[in-house]
Amino acid sequence: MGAQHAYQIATRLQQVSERLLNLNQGTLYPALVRLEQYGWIKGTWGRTESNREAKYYAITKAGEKALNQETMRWRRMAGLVERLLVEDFQ
Amino acid sequence: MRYLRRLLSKWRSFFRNDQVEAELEREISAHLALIEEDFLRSGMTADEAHRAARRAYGGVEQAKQMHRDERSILWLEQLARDTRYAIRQLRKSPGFAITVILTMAFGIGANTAIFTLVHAILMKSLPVSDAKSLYRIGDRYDDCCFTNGLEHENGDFDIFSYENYRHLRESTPEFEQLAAMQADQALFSVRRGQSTAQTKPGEYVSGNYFSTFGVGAFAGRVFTDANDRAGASPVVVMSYQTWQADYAGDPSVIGATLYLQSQPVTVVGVAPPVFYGDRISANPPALWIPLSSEPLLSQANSILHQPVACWLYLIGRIRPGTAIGPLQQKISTNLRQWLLTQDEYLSHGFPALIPKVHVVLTPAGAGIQGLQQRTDKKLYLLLSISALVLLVACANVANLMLARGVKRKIEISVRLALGSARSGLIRQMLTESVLLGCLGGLAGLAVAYAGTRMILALAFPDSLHSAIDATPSLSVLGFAFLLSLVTGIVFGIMPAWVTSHADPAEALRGVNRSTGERASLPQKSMIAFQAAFSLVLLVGAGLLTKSLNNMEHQDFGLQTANRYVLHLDPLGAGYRPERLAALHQALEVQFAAIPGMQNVGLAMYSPRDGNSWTDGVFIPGRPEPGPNDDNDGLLDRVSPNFFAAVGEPVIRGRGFNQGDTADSPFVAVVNQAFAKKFFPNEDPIGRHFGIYEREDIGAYEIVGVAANAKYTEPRAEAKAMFFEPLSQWQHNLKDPIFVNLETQTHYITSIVMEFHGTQQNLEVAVRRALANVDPNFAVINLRSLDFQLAGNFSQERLIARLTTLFGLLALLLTSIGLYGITAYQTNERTREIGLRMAFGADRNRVVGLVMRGAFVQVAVGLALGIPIAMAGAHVIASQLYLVKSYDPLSLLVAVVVLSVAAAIAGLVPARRAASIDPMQALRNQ
Repeated sequence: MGAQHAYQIATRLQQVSERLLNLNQGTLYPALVRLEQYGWIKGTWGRTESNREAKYYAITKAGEKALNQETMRWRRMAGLVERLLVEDFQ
Repeated sequence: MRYLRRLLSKWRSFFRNDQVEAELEREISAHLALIEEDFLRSGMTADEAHRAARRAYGGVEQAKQMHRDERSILWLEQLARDTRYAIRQLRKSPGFAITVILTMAFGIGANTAIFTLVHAILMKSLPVSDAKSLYRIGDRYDDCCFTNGLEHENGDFDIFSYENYRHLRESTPEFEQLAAMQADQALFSVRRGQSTAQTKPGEYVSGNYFSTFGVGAFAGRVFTDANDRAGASPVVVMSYQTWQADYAGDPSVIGATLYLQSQPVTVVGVAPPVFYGDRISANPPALWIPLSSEPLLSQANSILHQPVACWLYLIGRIRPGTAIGPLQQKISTNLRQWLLTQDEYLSHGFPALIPKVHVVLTPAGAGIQGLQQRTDKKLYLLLSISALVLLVACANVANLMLARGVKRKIEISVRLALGSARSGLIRQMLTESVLLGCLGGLAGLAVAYAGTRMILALAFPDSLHSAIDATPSLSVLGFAFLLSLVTGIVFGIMPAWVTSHADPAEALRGVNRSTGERASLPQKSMIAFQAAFSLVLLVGAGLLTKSLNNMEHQDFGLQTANRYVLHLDPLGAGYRPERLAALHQALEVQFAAIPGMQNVGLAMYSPRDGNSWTDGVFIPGRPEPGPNDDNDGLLDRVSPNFFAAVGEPVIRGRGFNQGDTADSPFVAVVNQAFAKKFFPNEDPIGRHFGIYEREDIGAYEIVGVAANAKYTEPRAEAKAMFFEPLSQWQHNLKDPIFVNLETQTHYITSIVMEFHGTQQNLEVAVRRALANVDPNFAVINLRSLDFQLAGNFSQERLIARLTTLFGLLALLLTSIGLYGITAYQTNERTREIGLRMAFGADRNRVVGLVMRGAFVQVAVGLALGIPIAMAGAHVIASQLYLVKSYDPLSLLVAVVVLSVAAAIAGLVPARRAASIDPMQALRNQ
């Protein structure tokens, strides 16, 4: 998946979550600002297929590294929570 | 790392905010367009799609705000916004802004001016390298400037003889360098080539003086130990200021020969511009002279090799890591041992004192701190006084802000009703007051600069180029800024709180009926506080002025009308002891010949010219005084006509006359205090006494008693004093220090004259007479005796005047404040007053009504202020002369002045209220 604009990201989140996660579209911006300020993504203006302008966000090198780290962290955390649930509540 | 990057980009977005905002706008509209496109594709009409897209997106403005919150440094953004808003608000009411800024400028300016002095005098280190490692051997300065070192009963030793210094320097390796410097500053006659001699302050210092302080030369070189040896050719270092002022920076001065006390010396260099010497003083030395030149320049008066003649302060640079406590112990032990090896310290009753001798090491990064010790109380007093003025100014501004807050009530109410956060409103109003404070502070810097210059000129009137600079330093700027911030908050917080707690509903219902009762109590209490502080200042001003008056117009015991004093220096003109008798005679003859001259008296020193000479008095047949017994008397050596010339009556026996010659029996005249101290209930006439212990037992016969007169400390009673004739000289003394002292007392410094005519005429005639005697003489100064007696109160005068000025300023601010609030309240009560008048109240009742309101606040202020003023007076009691700290008159005057001012401030609006036309008042509202 290459560079995406905010609307695509929002739509994609809706699809993946099967409409369980229905974000107010505007709330996405603060997250994008934060990621951009960390230097993990970079926004550039481009054109959509229908030739409308949109800001496309692409992941950076630092972003990929951070993504790996955060993914590992998430997996560890999720696994831990899973194990706790399994052992303590069954 | 990522947080750092984020912070940086936040800063960036703060500075290019407009651009970021535009980009956000663009991104959001692109986003909306995309959603809209999708909806269109799913079959909606354009209009439906447009609306559905906005619904799907959510609140656009909220999204923007969230974006802003996320991308920026919130408080900074807010601050910028609040500041912009505050500036807009102030622009709308320039009158208000200017009033506040001016008020604050005076308040902050006064404080900054005083702080500049406090900083320059009390908090400054010497401009030398590594001032922290400098230590002084000794901690007090009250034994200046020529003693035996054993003055203090507890054995605290802090002034040293040259021999003592040499010994300590050699035996204390803990000091990397140990330098000696003259305790007082002497005046020298200085001449270059054939020009006339001038009198300049100079200071004897050891050869390692400059290297100890780590100070190099600005031009030429500084002297070293090699120049400070017996037999070394005499050299001096000149101060940069003297070089510029007297020689216009002429480079040929370096290496040139000057005549110092008529002896040739070479100027080896000029000190750096920032180096003002080892102490802050009004007249820093023009020349630094190595100690080894002292015998040449002082001739018979030389004290360099008198082991008991203590006249040097010691400052050294301590080696890193040296513990001060043990070093202090070591030096004390060492000093006691050395004293016991000196013959001079084994007689004169000294041995009994030696076991207690010890030294205290004190940090000397600020150098010799005599001025600091003499002025610190006064400076702190000034600082407290100016702080009070600032408080009054703050109260005034707070009141203005409150009044303004009432005017803005509707606006505030609307904003509250529309959902503005109260904290936001308070923050905004505080921003406004802090901004005002800062602007006031900025204007205050100008006030401070002018004020400091004025204070310095008043405090040190005859200062040539002082070491104290009026230009604000970085610390002073910092102080002013902090003060502005704090005052902004102090005068802003209460009005902000009160104003933002307006009840929106009530305010919106009807403006005219809500008369601002809530703001009124704080406003009234502000006035009460102002009145209280003003009273404190006025009482202080009263006490200090009264004390100054007592000091200036006290009875010094002298007839001062038509009396003048000339200062001169025969030693500087090159006179040896054997030529003095002829000189004195020539001076008397030449001066007596001046037309209009009634009496001419020569003296070792004249009343209150800064000199004095204390000797022990020994009376034959009485037990020898112990080491702690007080047998001190002031000695002045004078010519026969001195008593008539200075206007000090001889009330019993006789004064001196031409019959008292070198060969006739030794005689003395004593004052009443002397008679009372040494011969209570006895007739002193015909009694004998001596001053050189066993060497001159009963040498002098008392032939007369003079009335008491104050020659030294103006605050104390006249001291026991005795006079000896200049013409008589004890030539049989053996102890070298006695020989030295006897010689020193025969050098005159003053000629006192009773003269009928103008001071200008006298000045011309005196210069001519002096040139007739010897063209080498320089006139150090010529002034009236009155001026000399009162001249040394400049600091007391400054404090009294500043306190009065500050008191009046506070009074003015309070009156304006009272006027403002009374006028405001009267205006609010127009309708009520109209009603009262319609029901028959006459003008006097209305005036009384308004005045009562004004006076209640002042009365509360007085009730608060009187106890504070009394407590304050107690604190400054030590600064007062012949004024009790509880002085009902000062209190009464202050209360009356304040009440009159309040009455005037209240009367103007009261009269206006009384002239209200009832019909009009009722119709209007």
